Amino acid sequence: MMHSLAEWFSNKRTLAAVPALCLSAAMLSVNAQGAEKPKSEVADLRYGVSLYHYYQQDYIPAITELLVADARDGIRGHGNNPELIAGGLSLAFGMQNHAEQLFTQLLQDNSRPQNVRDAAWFYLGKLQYARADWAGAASSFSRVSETFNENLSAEMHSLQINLQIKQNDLTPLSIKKVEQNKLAQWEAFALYNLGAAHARNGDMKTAKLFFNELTDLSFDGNSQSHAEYLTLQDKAHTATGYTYLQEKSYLAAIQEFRQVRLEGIESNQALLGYGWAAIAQEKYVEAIKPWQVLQQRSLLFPAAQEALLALPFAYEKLNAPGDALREYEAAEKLLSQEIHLVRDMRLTLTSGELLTLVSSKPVSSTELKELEKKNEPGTLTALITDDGQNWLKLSDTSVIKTRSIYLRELFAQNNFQSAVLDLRDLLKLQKLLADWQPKLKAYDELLQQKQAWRQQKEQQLAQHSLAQKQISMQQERDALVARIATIKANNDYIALADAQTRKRFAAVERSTNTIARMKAEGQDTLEYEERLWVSRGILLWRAAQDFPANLATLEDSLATMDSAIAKIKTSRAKIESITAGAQDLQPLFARLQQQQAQVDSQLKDLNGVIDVRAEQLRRKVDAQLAAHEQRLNRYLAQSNLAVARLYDTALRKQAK
Amino acid sequence: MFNQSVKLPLLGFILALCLGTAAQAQDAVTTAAPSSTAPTESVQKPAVTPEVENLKVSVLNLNRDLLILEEELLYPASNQVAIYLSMDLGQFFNLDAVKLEINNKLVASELYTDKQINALFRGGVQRLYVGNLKTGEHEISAYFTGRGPQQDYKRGAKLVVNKTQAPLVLELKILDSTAQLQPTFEIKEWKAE
Repeated sequence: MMHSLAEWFSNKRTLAAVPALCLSAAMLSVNAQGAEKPKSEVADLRYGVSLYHYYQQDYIPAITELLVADARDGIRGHGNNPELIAGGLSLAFGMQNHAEQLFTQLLQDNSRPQNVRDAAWFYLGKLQYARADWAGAASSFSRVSETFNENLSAEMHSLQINLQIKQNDLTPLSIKKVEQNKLAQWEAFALYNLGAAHARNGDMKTAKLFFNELTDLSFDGNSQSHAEYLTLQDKAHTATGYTYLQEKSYLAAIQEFRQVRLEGIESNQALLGYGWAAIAQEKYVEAIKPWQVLQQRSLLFPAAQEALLALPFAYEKLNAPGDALREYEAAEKLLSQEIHLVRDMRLTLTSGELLTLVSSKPVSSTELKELEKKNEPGTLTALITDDGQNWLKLSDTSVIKTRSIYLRELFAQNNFQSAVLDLRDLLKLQKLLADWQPKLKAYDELLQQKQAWRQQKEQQLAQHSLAQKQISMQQERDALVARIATIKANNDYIALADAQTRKRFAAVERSTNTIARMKAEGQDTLEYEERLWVSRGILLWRAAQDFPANLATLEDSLATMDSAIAKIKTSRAKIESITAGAQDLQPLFARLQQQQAQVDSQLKDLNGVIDVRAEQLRRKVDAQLAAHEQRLNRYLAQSNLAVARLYDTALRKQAK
Repeated sequence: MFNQSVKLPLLGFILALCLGTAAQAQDAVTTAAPSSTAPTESVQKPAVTPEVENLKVSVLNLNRDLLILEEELLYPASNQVAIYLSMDLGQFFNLDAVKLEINNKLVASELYTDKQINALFRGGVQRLYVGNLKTGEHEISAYFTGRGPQQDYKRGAKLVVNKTQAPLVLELKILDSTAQLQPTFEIKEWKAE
């Protein structure tokens, strides 16, 4: 069962579980319908991290997260979503060929669920549509099943209508057919587009039918859609009005113009048309009213510029040459000022300024409104908005919004917007690579330090310094063990006695030898022998008293030596393990150096492309301003001629 | 003389402007910042060129390789610890800030913007901290401050983990307890498969 978007959003568990993409309700429905059961948590953290960046419109880290996951073991537990996300992110980052490859690969696998295939066909169709591949887009859309997400189906049907308009196949597109398509919010656009198409074909009667249907359309939607709807209605009324004007149905034209909202952007053209419709009926006073309103408006609007000349023209028709002359002279002054302003704008607009503008921090729609209120008309202020604009939304979102009406048409063009987005993406990548440069340098130093440390340790090992120390300590320890064993076996108390006792005992031993020699020579040594025997006994008794404590001290020394030897062994093993098993630094060095070179090279390429693109943008903006300057000059010349003509007429009258 | 013969070309210009393309109709409505993709009749061929796209792809691939190299250099698998933050539902808790401590030492803190909260609420997962830890036992503590429907919260969660030679992956989870109608906070250890 297909879940509606509202249902989906009401179920946050699903959302948290497999947080599919805001860019695609279809992708959300994929999840709801897919074989996977909704999870109460992300199954793969990297997928969640990618979404975290995506939802903040940080496309570079979002894509990179998926790329890193792919380079390892991929993302598990989220079914088809990572592939759809990757396709969507590629689209969002202006990598249309890459996105197309991903969607095509996905479609080549027939085992994918129908809802996944529908989403892929839909986005593939949109890609082809954006590339003006009308046949390809029509074919892709035709393969989307009837169970596709309702909201996106409406968008798709609207695009299909546009495809038929492109092929000038208007006959099957009746108003009834449009209604049957359930176009939802796209219906107003479709009606307008069809009306405009018929008008371009010269079929004003049918065009009016579509425009009338649009103006009669009832509206039920949010306030944002309501504003769009009202603007389209204004456009339809204005277009119908001019259609009547061409047909010389002046009253009907005025009726249409009067229905355009005075505060809407279309009102300038409607006011101008109103005036001309009145002039055509020779109702000159009636023509003056709308033109006076227009004259008060900013000269940035072409209609206001034309009103500068139209108003005195009406005065002339009313036989008021004085008023006409005053208005023409005022027009000369205003037009001269405006030409000066446009020239200034052209002189100050450099590609560097454009780059600063494009790379500036995006502003929210609320901030934008505040800024627009503060700006004086005519100030060249363009802002990057953060209202979710991306390549998918290219067709309806002004990336650069400007108060400068002169650039309005240019800024509204898709190829200009695409160029701005491209340039902005390139600038982000330029910053990304520039940020890597100092880091890579630091990593190079880090690796060098690691290498130096490792070499030092390897050298230590090579010199066997630790091994020699271990052997020498082991020999000392073995000697000590043997000594203790001997002392214990012989109960050699004197061996562990203090120095004085040992000295005295040695003296006793020497005396014993002396007595033995004296005895051999026949001397009487009995007394000496007795005294010596007592001394020896006392010394042995004393030494025997301290023997256990002294032996324990000696055995402690042995334990200390054992511990020291064990430490040396551990250190040796550790160093050997590090040098034998540690990461080989040479491949890392090689990768680092290779990637450093790649960063430098790609940064150079990026800088080159950015310079070229910025200059191309500047030329486009300048050409647009130049066209406006040319038109203003034309109006100024007409004003000059009109002033001269009126003076001439006045002089001739005086002469008569 | 500024007469009808002058007027008519201008009229033609304005009519062309009105009946021109739906792109211009779109332009008129863009001032209202539409919320979703509006189809237009005359989408022009985008300015994206294979040259630019190829450059984007190669820079992104290079960035991926650089990140992998950086991770290998700075956070080798045997020492690596990565800590993530997620929110499941989040109806009972509006996150303001998080502090993360390892063995009573502050290693990461974050003050959240609305954009970040929205991304978490929609199922995004934040990589809060990546660092190195020696093998053995460690205490991980996280402190969450934020607002609930009824009260402000300042809560903590602790977990003692045993770091082995494998990378340590933890997830700080903010969950809604429907039984208690309040948020709960926990730390989950992700075991390598």
